[in-house]
This record gives sequence, structure tokens and C-alpha cells, in this order.
Amino acid sequence: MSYQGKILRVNLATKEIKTEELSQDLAKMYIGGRGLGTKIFSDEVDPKVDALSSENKLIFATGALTSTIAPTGGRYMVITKSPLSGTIASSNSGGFFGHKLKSTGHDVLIFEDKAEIACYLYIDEEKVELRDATHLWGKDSHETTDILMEEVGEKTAKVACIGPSGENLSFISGIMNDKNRAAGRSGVGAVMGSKMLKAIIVSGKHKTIIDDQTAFRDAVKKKVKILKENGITGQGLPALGTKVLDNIINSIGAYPTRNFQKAQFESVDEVSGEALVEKGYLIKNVACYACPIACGRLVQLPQGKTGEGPEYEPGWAFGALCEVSDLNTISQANFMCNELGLDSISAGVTIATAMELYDKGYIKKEELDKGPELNFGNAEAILYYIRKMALKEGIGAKLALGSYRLAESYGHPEVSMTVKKMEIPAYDPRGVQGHGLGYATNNRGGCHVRCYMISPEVLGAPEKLDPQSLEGKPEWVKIFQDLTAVIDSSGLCLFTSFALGAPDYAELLNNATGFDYTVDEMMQAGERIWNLERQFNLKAGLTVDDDTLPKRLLEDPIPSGPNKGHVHRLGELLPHYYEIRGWSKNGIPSDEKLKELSL
Amino acid sequence: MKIQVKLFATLRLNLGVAGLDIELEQPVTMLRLLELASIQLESDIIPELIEDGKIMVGTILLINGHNVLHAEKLETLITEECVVSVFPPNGGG
Repeated sequence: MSYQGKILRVNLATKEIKTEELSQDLAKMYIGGRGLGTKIFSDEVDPKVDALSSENKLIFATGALTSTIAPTGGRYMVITKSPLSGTIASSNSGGFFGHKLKSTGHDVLIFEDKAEIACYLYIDEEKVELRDATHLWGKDSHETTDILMEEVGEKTAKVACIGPSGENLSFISGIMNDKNRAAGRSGVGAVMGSKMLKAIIVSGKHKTIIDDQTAFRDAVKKKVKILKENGITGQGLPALGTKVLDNIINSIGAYPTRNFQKAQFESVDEVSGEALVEKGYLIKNVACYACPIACGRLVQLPQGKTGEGPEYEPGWAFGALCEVSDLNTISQANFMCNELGLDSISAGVTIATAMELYDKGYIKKEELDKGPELNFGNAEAILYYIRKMALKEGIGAKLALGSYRLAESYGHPEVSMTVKKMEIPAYDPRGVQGHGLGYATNNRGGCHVRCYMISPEVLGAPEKLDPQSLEGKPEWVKIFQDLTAVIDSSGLCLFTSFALGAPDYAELLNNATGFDYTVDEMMQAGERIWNLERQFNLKAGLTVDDDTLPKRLLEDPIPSGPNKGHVHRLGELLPHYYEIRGWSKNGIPSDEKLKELSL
Repeated sequence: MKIQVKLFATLRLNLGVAGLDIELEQPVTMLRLLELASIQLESDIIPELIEDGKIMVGTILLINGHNVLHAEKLETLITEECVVSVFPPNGGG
């Protein structure tokens, strides 16, 4: 049984700390991580709660395969209600923190209420303590980690924390772990900040007990071999990381540029993954816990600063989307987001929104308070306004609330490229129809990793689909959404799915947990998790009208390039998607579907 | 006619070449173009892209941004001046 069997509940106001048993029935129904965390959260929290109030809770949940030798088995999820989107938030991160969290002997941490003064939580195998963190408040994520590591004095301990942006309740702040890994999306850092919880430091050596050691070890060997032999996970990702996508997505004409006003960036060669190597920035690739892929980038910039990234998404957001072609600045922007605790995707998209608002005269020069002009292409502006955003200084107070609220505050929400108020990542839906349906129906808003249709529509894995065809796309989207819920709940990395399929995950889960999922039962667990999230959002007040894309993507054709003339055809896809989900025309799960899923 | 061939990812990094121009007197298939590129590069790039006569999963071959998998695959004819983009198997997110 690969669970520790324990939930740790921490009340930040009363400082009461309790340990509870993990229900094995719930574990089987919801697998772990995202699924289990969402179940616990939605049972305990009113969906209409104000995300930054003391009534909201913050859950850290490890997966069924976290802290095992399963390839990439080191991930954890943060589950809460998002201040950015008003939806269920679950934000996923790698590194080593998830492994160490589970090694303390707990599967799940639940934080309730708010602390009066800044605090951090220390956990090891024997003790759990809430400690004063007033000396850490105001420190960035790297400083916080270094100070805590020195204070605790345990070399193998791992830290998750917020930076100044989370303290300042920026709706686009994340939670950083291992300094440069992020549970980045949905504004989970602001929830942690609202609770005055600066950090969690974990240290433990509890082994995760595997049900059938021999079978599990054999299964892991087979899966690692598949990952090593696969062209994407065995060669492409280790060599170039995720930034190999810059040239791919630009070449097919789906690389959002100038805040989605264009779909190709003429300076892509200056900012691509290849450029990162050719310019000599890349030192080496780095891996998260138990990962045979190692897609991370350790980078050194010309002025000597080292750090991780940028990954494809932030590199694009600060690059093409803002029409900035200086890779040095883009990399610095990524480093700053990691240090300040900002969601680097949302931060870049929000600055691009500000640039369009400035370009169109909605933001006036005097409002910039002598700061750099917010012109597209102005690299200096990127670094300047990231800091303003994190510290909520001047116009940064508006930027800190994300793209949608920024654009809305000027009376032009149509300039915001968001779904459910969360910033859309680096693929223009007008060029990849299935991926666009995934954005529109995503339970946490504009997100690419809950339904990575780029894999079949662009990369050709597991098979190549025509990105402009609508045929079969709702079915593919449903399968990808359900399977991703399984992967997130298992504690594995989505990148394994370039090479592994549903039967591979079922084999790993069954050998580790001792459950006897058929592939269908496992996929049904994924569907259950998706519907549970949907139910939470509906109760929170979201409606069918929120399953949409920005008007620009539905009505304005891509002006040039391979996808010239295309818009996203959501209206032709959505009804069938609802139908195969077993939902009404208004996107509400039917009683039969809920019964079938035991919801 | 001039065909601009662009090389990406590990192909570009390993060969140290971002691309090449190929002059054609008559239309050729995508497979033949890759053979001609290999000759010009003095390095056989085909094993990086094709296995058992088929385009490998993850390999991307584009003509003016359009994937040949949705045309005639390796038999797709190149009949006019164009940009051919060549990616060995890769992915990300």
C-alpha cells in the first residue's frame, strides 16, 4: 500500500495540529494528489467562500506513486479555491519537496484558518511545529529557503514557500519549492499569503511501502526503458528541454505573438531553445526526483547569474507575447518570477496585456510614474514591471491581479487573453482546435497541462491528428482530461504520457497500491475527479458561459502564416463535448452521470 | 526552384547548421529532399527522422508550416519554392 495512511491537519489560528487516518476507500476512488485533495477540499469548504478568507483551506497532497521509484514519482499538488479564477485550484509541482513531504509519514497536509503573525511549519518523522516566520516575511523564495535550511540544519530537508508576491496577495502568485520549482498557477501563493504561512520545511526518512515490491520494480524498469527509448522523452526533452517548442509552434503558425494579435514571431531564432544552447547559456539539464527524462535547464547568463529555466511557457510569455527578442532579459525575467514567487506564465501574459492597453492608449504614460514605457518589444519594461507587480507598487497593484482584472479596470476586458480569468498559455487555439476546446472547458481556466492536445495535434503522439480538423476532438479532449487527472493524482509528471499509455499507469498503480484497477476503472477515477472539480465550480457560481475563449480567438482570424484565416470553432465542438461527458446542454453533469461516478 | 530547408533541435545542434538551400530542377518527394539534404550536409539525417520507412513518432516535417503527415507523408511532392522545416522527435509543454 503506497500511502502513508496519514493526513496532517493544522489550524493556523489555534495552532492545533491533528493527525487523521486516510480512508482507503477514498484513496482508491480518488487515487491521491489532485483527486484525493479535491475530494477532501470539496467536502470541507463551501464553494462560494472568498478565496482569501480564513474559511478557505489550503491542501498539499502527494500522489499514490509519490516518493516511490516510479519514473518522475516526486510530485505533489496544492488544492484550494483560486482567488484568480474563482474555481477549484490545484497546482502541480515537481522537484524533491513532494518526495520529502511524503517521507515525513503524511500523504496530505490541510491548513485551516489564518495565523495572526507570519509562521512556517516544520515537519519531520517525530515532530510537527508551527514556528515564527516574522524574520522571513519580505524575503524572496531563495533567501527564505537558504535561511530555513541553515536554521534547521538538515541537509536533506526541502522547502516550499511563497515570495513577496504571495505575501502581497497577488492573484498570480505561486508556491515555490526547491527554490525554482513552482506550484505556479491559479494564485495558490496568495492563499498561502492570506494565511500568513510563509513556508513549509519537511525532513523525513519514512519509506513508502510498496504492495508488491518485485512486480513494481519490474514494472518500473519496463516503463523507464520505454521512456529512455522514446524519441521525445529519451532524446528531445533531455537535450533541449521544453523550449524546443518555440520553433515547432512558431513554424506551424500557432505561436501567440503581440498578445495574440499574430501567430508567428519573426525573432524566434533569437529566443528559442536552440538559441539557449547556441548562445552558451545552458550549463546542463537537471532532473526532478526519480526522473529519467531530466528536462530542466540550468542556465548561466552573460553577467554570471545562474538559475533554472526559462521553460517554454515563460520564455514565450516574456518573449513573443511581448515581442521581446532578448533572451538574456527573458531569462532574467524568469529568474525574477521564481525569486518573487510569481506565476511566470500569468506574469508574462499580464504584461503583454498591459502593453496592448498602452499601445491602444488605454493606459496613459503618466500612470507609469516615470517607469519604462510599456511598448511591445521593450525588454527593460519586462524586468521593471515584474518587480512592481510582485510588490504591488504603482501600476503594479493592478498588474498583480492578473490580465483580466487589469484589462477590465480600463473598460477593455476583450484585451485579456484569459479563460475563467486565468491567462492562456503558449498555443493559439485558432491553430489547434482540440487544444482550444481543452482551454475552454478546463476546470481551472486557461491552462495547457490538464489536456495537452498539442501532443496529438502537433507532436504526433500517440498518433498525429490534423490540428484544424474537428472530427473526434471532443472524444480526445475527454480522454486527455481524464487521463491527466489520473497522472496528477498518481504523483507522476505529465511528460511521461509522451511515451506511456493508460495501461502503463494502471500497472504501476496496482503494483504499488495493491488495488486492482482495470484500465477502465482507473480512467473512471479520472472522470470522477474531473466531474468533482466541475461540480465544485458550478456550486461556486460558474456557468456554461464560462466555458469559452476570448472573443479575439473566436472571431478574429489569424492574420498571416500557415493558419491564416482560421478562428477557433468552439461553437461546433462544445455541444458534443457536453454530450459525451454526460452533461446537459448547459454543461451540468446529469444525475445518471453523477450516480455512475458515485458522486 | 530553391527550397529552404530549416533544421531544428538536436539536428541543428549536432550538425552545427541551422539550414541549407537546395536547388531543384523538378519536383521531388519529401523523402528525396531529405536524401538530397543529407548529401549536401555530408551527414545522413534520415535515421534521426525515419524508422522502417515511416516517419518516427514525434518527428515533424513541415512544408510552409503544414505537416506532411496530413498530405502524402514521405511521398508528398515538393513542387514549388517553399520552406521545409525538419524536427527530430521532440516535445515539451
